[in-house]
Amino acid sequence: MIEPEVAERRAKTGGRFLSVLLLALFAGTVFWIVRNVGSLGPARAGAAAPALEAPVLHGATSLGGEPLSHLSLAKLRGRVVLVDFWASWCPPCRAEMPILKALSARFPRERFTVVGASVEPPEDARAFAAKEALPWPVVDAQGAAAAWSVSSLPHLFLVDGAGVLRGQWLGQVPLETLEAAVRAAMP
Amino acid sequence: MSPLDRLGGMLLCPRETLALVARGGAGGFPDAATFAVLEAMLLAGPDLARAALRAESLGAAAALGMAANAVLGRLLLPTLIALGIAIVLTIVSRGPRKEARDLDLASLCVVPLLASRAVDGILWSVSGLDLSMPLGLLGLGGTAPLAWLAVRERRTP
Repeated sequence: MIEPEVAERRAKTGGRFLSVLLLALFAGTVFWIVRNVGSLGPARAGAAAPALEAPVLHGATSLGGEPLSHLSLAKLRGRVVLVDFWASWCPPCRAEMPILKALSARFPRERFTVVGASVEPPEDARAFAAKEALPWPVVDAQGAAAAWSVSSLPHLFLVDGAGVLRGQWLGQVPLETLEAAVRAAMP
Repeated sequence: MSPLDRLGGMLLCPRETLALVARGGAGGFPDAATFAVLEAMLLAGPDLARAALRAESLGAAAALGMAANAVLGRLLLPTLIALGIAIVLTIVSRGPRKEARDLDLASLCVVPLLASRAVDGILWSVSGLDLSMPLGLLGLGGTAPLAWLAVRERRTP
């Protein structure tokens, strides 16, 4: 044990160190927010949708034509696309699948498709998509979530035929809402 | 001793600080909890800003959920470690005490972890450097001997 006066002096030094640490953390956080404020806001409707190029995990032939190994959102121009960021461990994502299936069935695939953007290990996504027989392509979008500013699931983005973002929803969305939005996004 | 001095004392003279708290001194849990909550809010600053900026498009409830998740997620590890140490202290303590200070002592033991996370947060926000793993291990490495000191203190009649 050291002398109480020495201990008190050391404790005060430690306390000063911690307060400097908190102040520096505050300054660092403010610095980061100011520097990145442009990417923190929502992807606004009317803006160009971020790029999505990812390996296809399931439904390689669900869009018709040649089987796809990679899917690029840019190549789906002309069709309205609902990009669904999801994971099989997320209960609301699983609960939303029947709604998306019903939505998918209401439009011809030449005019509308869902794209499942999975943010979990590919094997898990592939197994779930196969088990549920999802009728749309599912891609490994783990690397794309940041560009789309996805921070919670499920997160849906509606992109029109010109690649413009027309809307986004977080959490489970009623079928009627999605259907109306898709119809409005069609030319 | 002020709350900040007690926390600082855990870095530079932990034995004396633990003895002071164990023998009826004020503080412990409230000091560490206040520091941890402040730190969690600062570390979650980018997520809080994101939630605030998206509140209009996502809805208030979703934005609040995002913000709460961000802060609570950063409080989880230190809380679990402090609770674990408190349980160990309760199990190993000898004899009756006037007041139970296990949670106070255990909370103070996570100060090195909180400090290392703050350093990691500063480095990441300024330079983008992600040293969360080595600094986290360093913080845990600092917490372990403090937990041992707390056990010894608790077993001292």
